Amino acid sequence: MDAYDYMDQAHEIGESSLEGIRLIEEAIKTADAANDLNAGYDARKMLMTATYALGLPKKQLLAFAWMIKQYEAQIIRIDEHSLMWRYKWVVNNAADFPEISKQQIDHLLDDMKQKYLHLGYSLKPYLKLRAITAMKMGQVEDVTGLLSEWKAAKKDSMNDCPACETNDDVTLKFFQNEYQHAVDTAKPLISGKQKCGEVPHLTNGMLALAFWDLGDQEAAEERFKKGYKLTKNHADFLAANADFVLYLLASEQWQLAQDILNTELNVLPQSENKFDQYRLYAAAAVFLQAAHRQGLSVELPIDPNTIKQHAEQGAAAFDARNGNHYYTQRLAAQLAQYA
Amino acid sequence: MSQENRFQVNLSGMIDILSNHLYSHQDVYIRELLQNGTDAIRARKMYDAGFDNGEIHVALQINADTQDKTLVFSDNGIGLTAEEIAEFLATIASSSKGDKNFDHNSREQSFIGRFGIGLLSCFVVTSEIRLLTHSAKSGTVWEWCGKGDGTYTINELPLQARPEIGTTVFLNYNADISSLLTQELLDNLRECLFRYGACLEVPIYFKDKYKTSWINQHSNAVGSLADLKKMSPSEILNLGQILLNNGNYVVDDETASWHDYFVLQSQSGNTFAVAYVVPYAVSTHARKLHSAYLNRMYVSNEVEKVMPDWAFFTRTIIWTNELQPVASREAFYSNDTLERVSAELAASLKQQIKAMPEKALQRLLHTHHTAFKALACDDEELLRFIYPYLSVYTLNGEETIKDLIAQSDVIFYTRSVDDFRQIADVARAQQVPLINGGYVYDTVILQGLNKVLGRDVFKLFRPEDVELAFKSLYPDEALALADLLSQVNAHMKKYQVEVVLNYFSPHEIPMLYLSNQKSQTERELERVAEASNDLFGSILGNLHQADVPLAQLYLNFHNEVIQSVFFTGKSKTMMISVIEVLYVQALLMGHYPLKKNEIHLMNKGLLSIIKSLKSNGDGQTAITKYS
Repeated sequence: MDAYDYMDQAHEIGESSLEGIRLIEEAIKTADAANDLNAGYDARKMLMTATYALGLPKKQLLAFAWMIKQYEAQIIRIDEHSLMWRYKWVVNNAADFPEISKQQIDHLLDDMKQKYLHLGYSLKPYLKLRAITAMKMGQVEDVTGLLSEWKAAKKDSMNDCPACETNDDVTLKFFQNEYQHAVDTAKPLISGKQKCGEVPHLTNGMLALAFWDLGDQEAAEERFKKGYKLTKNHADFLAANADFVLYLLASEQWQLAQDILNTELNVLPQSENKFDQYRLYAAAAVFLQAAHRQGLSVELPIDPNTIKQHAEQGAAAFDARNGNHYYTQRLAAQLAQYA
Repeated sequence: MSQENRFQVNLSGMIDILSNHLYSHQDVYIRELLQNGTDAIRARKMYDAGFDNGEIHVALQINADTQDKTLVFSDNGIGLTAEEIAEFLATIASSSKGDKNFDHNSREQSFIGRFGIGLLSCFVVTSEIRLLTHSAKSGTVWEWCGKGDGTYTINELPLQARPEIGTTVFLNYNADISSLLTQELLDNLRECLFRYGACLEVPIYFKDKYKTSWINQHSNAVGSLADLKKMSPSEILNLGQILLNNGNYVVDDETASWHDYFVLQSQSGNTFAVAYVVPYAVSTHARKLHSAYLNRMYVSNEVEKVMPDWAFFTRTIIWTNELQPVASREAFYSNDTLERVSAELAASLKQQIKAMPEKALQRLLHTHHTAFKALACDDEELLRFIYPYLSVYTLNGEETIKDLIAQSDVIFYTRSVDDFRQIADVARAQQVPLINGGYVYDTVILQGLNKVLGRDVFKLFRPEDVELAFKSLYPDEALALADLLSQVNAHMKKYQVEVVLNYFSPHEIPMLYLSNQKSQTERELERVAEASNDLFGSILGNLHQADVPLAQLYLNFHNEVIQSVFFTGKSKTMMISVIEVLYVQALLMGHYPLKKNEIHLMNKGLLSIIKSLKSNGDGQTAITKYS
């Protein structure tokens, strides 16, 4: 079988599945062994699309690292637009790996900026990614300015879909604790006017917490009920599910919180996203603390000490990379709520 | 001072939006007319229990002088009073058919229409709708003429203008339709009448140039699950053939060869279906060609979400009176009811598959083996049921899992086709059962089967698990080579490989490279890092994992090459060079793309061997030959 046979097979069975990805990886191996650059590029492009919403950013990074080199080498013909579109995915997830240094992330953002400028694209996506990266790195004081810069920049064909744009806007406002602003911004997502493959899946957890904080219990519960259906049992949405767990703790729905953790902790190993994994471990650690205070006996698929250790190590690893104490302090504050 | 004003609505603009953009097909006006006619007949039955001969008649009138063509659509339903005309025909979005929330507990549930905008779709094909109606309630006859610009007239006519109870709609076709060939228009009308009205209980008669035919005579017997259950298998297969071919019996059509089907139902029985098994393999991406009828009215032949995605090996006909249509009535709302019904139909289909006679099940699995493997990957219960009939590729070709289990307690498998090729000769020499797990879903299925069987029957091939095939060195050999081997391995560690000395068959194979998933991932990371630019190379460099288990390079002490490496007094440097070449060769045999240092290794190793040959005087021969 040649590389394209494997790609065809993957397409036949649905490439966005673990088996589909295995076949695309066989295609990459076969193409590379034959030194077939075009097939290698096509297979990696397919892999990036297939893994987009599966929580596999490492596979994406690996594929893109090879593709960008081909782009720079200018040996084969490459669709620049589609490559630069994928660059956004890679940069969006870079900060999710604590092993990637702050300097490397800065270089990555800068490289993306230079390539966008060179190709004449608007820097709006770059500015949004700077804001999102700053948020993920706990650089609280930078986010407001970056958010404004992003909003003020001009749209072009590189702009994300309206649903994704709104989701990112809501996420940044939620991060800044501007809950009313976040739920107001989220109106088109709540009404269903804006939606896409990942939105409002990614948004509902935050919105449940925001509504709860604003005292609108009904709206919070609605976000949870509608939202968890979309994110259940899916490695790409561990962080959203972590927010649901926190919401269920706030609303004292202990059994539901435990059920979700039982499901999602089993899904967790399917994800390569260490930030999302950390988010779920942290939520589980907070759950365990809260349950302990309530005197509830709980049963999770992972030992409580291991969960807490994962949460603390995750927070420490991100803080060490980010050069601050954002996640350690945040975890400590969340745990202290139920001490 | 403030003043309350009212928006002006441009009715003709609205008609354009509703008529031209709401619906995906221009011929949807036929559906709207059939819908209104059927609802009128159902309403008359409710009004007059003795009424039992509802009919719809459709004809095309052609003006001999002008060649203008007019559709005449009649029903003998309840008709409309003057008040009803004013309410339902002259007010947009006012339906005569009950609540718009479509409460299925209400008595109006048997009506198809509910938005009161359907008649507007007629303006796609005409600029004027003329309607004559004789009301069963008032006994009056009224004529209503509505125009596309939003104006209408209404007149009472003498009874003889329409002596029978019922309604007739006249659509004088626009020029673009009138200019069609008469036969073309008639064929199109016949097709549309069948598509939309095939399952309606009301007989639909269509008069063309020569005769009047009963359009839905052979397809409208099914109104309930009980009706379906009364039918014989051949009648059900015929029904599928008619409905899925839009009324055409085509003897050599693919559906003529279909012979398996499942009758499905939701728990309430308000949705039921026949899933016809496609008798050839179809892609999971094949268009999901399931047809649906709501209250017996056609909805679509491409409905989504009602049947599970994995039912792509069927073409299903669904009848429902519990799902909620969207405004265009060409699909269903995604709501809790749809989710429930879909889950229930899926469960029903699985149950039916399990109840299949063995021969039919074998035929089904043989035809759709990929589909069923995909299904069984996520469904332990189904896997338990179908695994005996699944087949895999082994050293002996295609074999069923049932036969394999009967022959061996432990069966090995490889993760990829390349691994299988590398190991096949070794496994064959030792008569070790080996499955090529590189084919779609096989590895996942085999892993799942261990769970189903409650023991580890299927094992990923590792030489240490096959003691008979891979024998350790004799103790004195091992002792003598221990120091050398440790030096070799210290050198080879940079390639993430460990050299293992063994005896294995066949003797002709000098080496075998076996890696695990983690070492392969790590190897791929390194390979891409060096193939990328500095930025990405350094980022990937940071993602290296510590403590990844090494891959193994098995060297066969039965093999002459290996013996000569270790037992003919070669220097350590020479030995390592040969082992490096063997390592690269093993990678090439396994179709592994090489890293830069491995390509370098190959060149360096060969050069070193050539130099050594030259120093032994063999080089002279070559030079002499070519000089």
